Amino acid sequence: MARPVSPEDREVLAGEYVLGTLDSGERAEAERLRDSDPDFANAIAAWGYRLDPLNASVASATPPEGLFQRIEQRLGETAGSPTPSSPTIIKLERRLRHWRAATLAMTAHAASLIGFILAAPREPIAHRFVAAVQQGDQQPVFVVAVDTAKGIIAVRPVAARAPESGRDYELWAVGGGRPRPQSLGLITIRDANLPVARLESDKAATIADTVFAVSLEPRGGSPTGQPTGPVLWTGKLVPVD
Amino acid sequence: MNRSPETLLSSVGLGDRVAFAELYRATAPKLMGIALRILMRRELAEEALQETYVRAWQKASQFDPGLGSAMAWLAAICRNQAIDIRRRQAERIAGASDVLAEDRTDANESDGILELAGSQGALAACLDQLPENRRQLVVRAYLEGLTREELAALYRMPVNTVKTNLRRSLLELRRCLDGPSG
Repeated sequence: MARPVSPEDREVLAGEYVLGTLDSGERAEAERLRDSDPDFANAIAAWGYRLDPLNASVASATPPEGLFQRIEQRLGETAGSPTPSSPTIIKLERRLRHWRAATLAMTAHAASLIGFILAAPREPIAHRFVAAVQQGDQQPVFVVAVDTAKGIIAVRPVAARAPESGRDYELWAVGGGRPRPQSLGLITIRDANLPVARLESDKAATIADTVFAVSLEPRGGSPTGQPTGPVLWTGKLVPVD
Repeated sequence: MNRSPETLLSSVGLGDRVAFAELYRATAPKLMGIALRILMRRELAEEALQETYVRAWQKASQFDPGLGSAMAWLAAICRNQAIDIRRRQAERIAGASDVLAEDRTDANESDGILELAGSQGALAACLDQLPENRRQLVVRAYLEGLTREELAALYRMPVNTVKTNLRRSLLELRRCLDGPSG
């Protein structure tokens, strides 16, 4: 098959790929193009969403018994990593579960810390959130405060010890519309209430879905832009006003 | 606590297996229906579903709730898997695709029309603007994973006519859905 030349040809190829009308050779060609050309990959995704309402007419059916167990088994075989590039993220899993239990019954201790960190601002502020960054339900190590009106993310160390020599703590924002963990920079245990990062305005709406994670990285931060060391503590935002 | 598929899928992107199990429970019956419609055999649909959730686990962190729903994201993966399996099946048994297409003529012709009448929203409105035969072509291709050759056999028209009709329909649909600039 000739390589599609015009924008219309490409659009039709993407559309037919999603419709499923291409033969095997053409499908393979479309997949090659998808993997090498982000615009074409986006065109395919767009057709997927455009035509998806047709699925509303398809009746549900009971999946086979035991299928989920077989799927879980497959995940075990593929090393259990959700994304090949970030094996440390798997470590978030257990802590995230801990967090869920912990947030609902947030301790008076953590609540007092929140009062402490938010005492400073005087003017009324639309949306403020804090996250107790901790391991499981242990005492918070850092408190992260986010002010979506000002677009500021600040960190206060609470019970953090200095990282081992040659290492730094790096703060990450995970989820909330981010395709991958986003570095918010290195954090130290000395500077109180340090604004570490600006909150992008487009992330303000989904800030409540963001999980903060602190990983142990080589001095100067992760060399890859993604967490490379162990994820030590995590925390999720809760609104305070 | 009932969490939306979007929340669940985002948690799956963090490696949350509890959310993964919940996502499966919430979405598998629909995906099973979608895969069965294309593959018509339960054991093949199961294969498609298994592949779908393994991929969903691996790619969940790429899900962007700003572009569409988690269900649509999963359905796209599922249809892709089902179509791949269907193509492999068709190649394994030479000529089987023609037989499959013939089988479908009586079984599915009427409900294809019902589905069109039942669907709502912008896509349905835009499909309504297509001539009847071209609308049928698009809907049945999508729901049943038919190739151009199968559609040609089903609607007794040359493959080239199917190709031209699909092309026109897709371009008109996109114009209708995205506006003239799109």
